[in-house]
Amino acid sequence: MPPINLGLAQSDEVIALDRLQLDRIEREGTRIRCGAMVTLTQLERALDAAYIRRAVQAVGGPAVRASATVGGNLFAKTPYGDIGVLLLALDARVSLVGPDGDRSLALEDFYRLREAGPRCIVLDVSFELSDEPRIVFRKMARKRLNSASIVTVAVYLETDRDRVSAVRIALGGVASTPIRATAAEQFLEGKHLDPSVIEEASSRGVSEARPENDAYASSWYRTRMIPVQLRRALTEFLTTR
Amino acid sequence: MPEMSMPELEHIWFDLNGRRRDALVSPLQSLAEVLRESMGCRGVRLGCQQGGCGSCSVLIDNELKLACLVPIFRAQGRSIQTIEGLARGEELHPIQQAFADGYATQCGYCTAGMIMATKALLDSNPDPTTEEVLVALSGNVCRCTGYGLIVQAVLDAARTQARREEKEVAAV
Repeated sequence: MPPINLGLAQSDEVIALDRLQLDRIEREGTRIRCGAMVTLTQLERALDAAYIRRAVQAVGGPAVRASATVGGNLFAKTPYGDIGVLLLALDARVSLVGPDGDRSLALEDFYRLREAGPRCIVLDVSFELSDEPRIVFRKMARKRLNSASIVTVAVYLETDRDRVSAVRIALGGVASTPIRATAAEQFLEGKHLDPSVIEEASSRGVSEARPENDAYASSWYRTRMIPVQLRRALTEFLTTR
Repeated sequence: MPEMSMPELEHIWFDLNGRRRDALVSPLQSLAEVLRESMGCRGVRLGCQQGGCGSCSVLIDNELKLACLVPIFRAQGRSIQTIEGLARGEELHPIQQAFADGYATQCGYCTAGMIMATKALLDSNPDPTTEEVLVALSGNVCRCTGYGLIVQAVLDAARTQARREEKEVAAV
């Protein structure tokens, strides 16, 4: 609506997808298939998990959350799009339909496609609803409520006999799309999680980041906040779990 | 850029503050524009027109929405509440009364949106904590920055409503 309201729309036609039944959440065990037009309020109510609540509450105010959709959030420009950051840590897959038919791809690949200017419609996002102790979501912003991201961090971490056996770190606000912090992930694989390992992994969190200057923070500041926020996120796995 | 044609008008109806209303609308209109221009609801303010300020807050089927972000076809058959529907004749709604008594308005531009956001909160949570009020109003911007008195007015309104309900129960 904003481009229409502000007279900037390039067309006088609106195509409503309302009747395509894209507003459903399907659940098979722990596997979730979330329609692209599911609102953030709907998502929060349907999936009773603290990390989902935290990510949803990090976006806008109540009225925005009642209208904003999961699919729409995947197209939000940096420094917005925090739901995508959580979904990236959850290893989500995206189903698309376009001129070449249906396909499904990893969210990370979807973001690459998005930057290239896709000619497709997102149908749904699917992911594993993980156990709460395995996920941490943190957002740093200028205000506690309803503000764009300076750095958003979502971490999925699994351990086996005290060693990190699987880890996915997603960062938001620090590149043109949400990204995975691959260098930090690789460093953590197989390690025993302790403060010095966390410190080293956190400093590697800047490797893939290409933060920009905007009204909320400078690129310089964001780069310095990545290790701080990542360290705090990883430390939550030591203290509360 | 392709030349823009005049979009065809379509008939739509919805329930506005308890009364059925019909209108001819263009699919490119927002609910906010139709409420203001065709229904005389000037309490639905246009602020940023992109979902950032909360001044056009209304309730659709009892859920808080920003009317500037609602394409008009989505209002078809819905129940819509605006600030115009709150007072009973000359008697202000307890939320409006609390805002007036508590000096919770400065220029007044954000007030209608603040009151609708408050209504959405108190309908689902009649006894909110200060933190819950802050969350509920976090999408509404007051550029006079009168937030302290606004939050206090919401807490006062909750107390007045609770007292009124006690009285009604006692009367029964």
